[in-house]
Amino acid sequence: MAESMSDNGKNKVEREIVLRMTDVCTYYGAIRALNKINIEIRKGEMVCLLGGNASGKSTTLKTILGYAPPREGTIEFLGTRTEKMQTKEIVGLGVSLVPENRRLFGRMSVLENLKMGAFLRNDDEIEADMEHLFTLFPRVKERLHQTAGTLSGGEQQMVAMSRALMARPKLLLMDEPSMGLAPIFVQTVFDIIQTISNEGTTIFMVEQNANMALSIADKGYVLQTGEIVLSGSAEALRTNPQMKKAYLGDV
Amino acid sequence: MTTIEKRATSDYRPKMRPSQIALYGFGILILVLLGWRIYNVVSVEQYPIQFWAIQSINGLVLGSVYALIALGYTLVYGILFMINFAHGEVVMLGGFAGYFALQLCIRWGWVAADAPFFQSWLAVLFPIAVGMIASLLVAMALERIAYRPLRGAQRLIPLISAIGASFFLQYSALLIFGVTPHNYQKPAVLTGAVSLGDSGVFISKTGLFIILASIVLMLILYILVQKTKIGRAMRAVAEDQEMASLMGVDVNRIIVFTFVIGGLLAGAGGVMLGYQNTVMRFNTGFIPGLKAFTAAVLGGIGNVPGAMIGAIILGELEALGPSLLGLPNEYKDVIAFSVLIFVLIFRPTGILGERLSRERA
Repeated sequence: MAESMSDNGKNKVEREIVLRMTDVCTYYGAIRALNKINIEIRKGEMVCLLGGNASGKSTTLKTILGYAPPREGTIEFLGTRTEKMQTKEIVGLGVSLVPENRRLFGRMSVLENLKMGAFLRNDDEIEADMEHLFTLFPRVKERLHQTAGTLSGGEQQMVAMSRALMARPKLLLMDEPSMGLAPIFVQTVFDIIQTISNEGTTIFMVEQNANMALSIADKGYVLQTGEIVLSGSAEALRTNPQMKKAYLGDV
Repeated sequence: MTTIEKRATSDYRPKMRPSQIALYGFGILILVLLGWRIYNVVSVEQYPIQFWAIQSINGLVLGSVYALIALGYTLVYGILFMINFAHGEVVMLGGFAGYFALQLCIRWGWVAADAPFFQSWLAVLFPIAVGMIASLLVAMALERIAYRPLRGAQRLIPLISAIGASFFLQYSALLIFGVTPHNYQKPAVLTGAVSLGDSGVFISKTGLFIILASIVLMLILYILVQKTKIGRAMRAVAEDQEMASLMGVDVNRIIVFTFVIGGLLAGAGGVMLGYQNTVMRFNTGFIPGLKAFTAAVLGGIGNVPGAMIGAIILGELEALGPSLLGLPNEYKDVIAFSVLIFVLIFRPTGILGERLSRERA
């Protein structure tokens, strides 16, 4: 596969593996939601998981985070087996989530939301990290003392991303970052995701907006009824005829 | 066009049903009758202004104790959405622990009228500290034994467990301590009264101490909840448990911590009840517990400032209500629980509660 050059020009072949899911099967009761999923994410990469409704995208994230532990298969995060760990332990290893529908602490101020993001940190660089985030999200700084529940959808998405980044995640999971946003905000949000990625954060993004996601990702996986039916570099996926027909529309 | 608009507005503001109109009419009628009665009584009885002042101060003292207890209800509800009906018994056991600590102080000669100032204060504070610790332990045990195994069960089930725990604790206390009341003796610094200038209005030193100590404890609670990291984690868990755990918050620890704070405040409240009423019995905590629950509902359950406001209002209603309505003082419980019924009928969310009861039910 033509992986030597990506959009960002990052050379990722030699980098260490952050997350490796091997033959993972997750069940809800008797229903198999994920079937033999294999996913590999290397340091600094941006990987997207595409697929329609009920294809198992969100379940994949829940499985990684320990909410829906897999019945079979192994998950390795930076060399540690996590498939039997509890959520709080996995989070402690450095996995952060930007959840679907933002889910901010709506009655707290934006600043308190950010501090919650840094809950597990005890170092003295929290302030500095916050200042850095303000350069990425000037809007967040403007709204710092406002109650988070009163912000607009786009602003909430920015706070949710800032909150997740405050944990200095080794792997940032994003669940449908474009969902429910005004079209004008979607482009902004993806630009920011691109910037975060360029700064070296490893990102695993679940998205329905395949066009947008593939335009900034390095690598993609396509899920269909719990199975990975296609995978490869973003470039390869964009030009794949099957992909074009099913998800991208005839461009 | 117009019909569509009409339908749209009626969607947002549904019309009152006839039964609702009747209910509100009934409520307003009762308020008017109450107002009339109060007007008549006040104009006939002609109590001096000092009487009302002293009664309001009594209400404030009562309200302060209720507030300490009500905070325990409201904090636990805010996080677990359950009513800890055994909270009154946590108060009572704290009161008993304080009683035994006070007996020690008597043996050491700290309570006697001629005890030195410093020892006398120790005799006030030591029982409170012991009561707080005892209540903390009881509250933690309750959470561990009666509630944690039922977490995730339907909402009614921990409620039943709470009522069972309440009876268990009450009748255990009856068997251990007997039916005879245990009498609190006031240390020297709490006896007597302070008069406010030459207005004829006075406040007992015990009452003054209860008000000030409650304010201090509630300020500490406020700082803890609003300004500290663990307080922030508490509020996060109250809002969205799953998200809070995704931030790395140990939800179990926060729940235990909430019971600990509720227990500490309840213990302090129990000992203060002892100093105020000078008796402690196995069922001393029951009625104040229900009253504090009423106060928490009145203020909006789950809401911390609401519990404080509701408690003060309830204390004042209890202290002033019987005189205002020209009823014997024994009617104060009737007044307090009528308030509970009225709040539940007409404003189930309480004074400060906005969306709690429906969204979370």
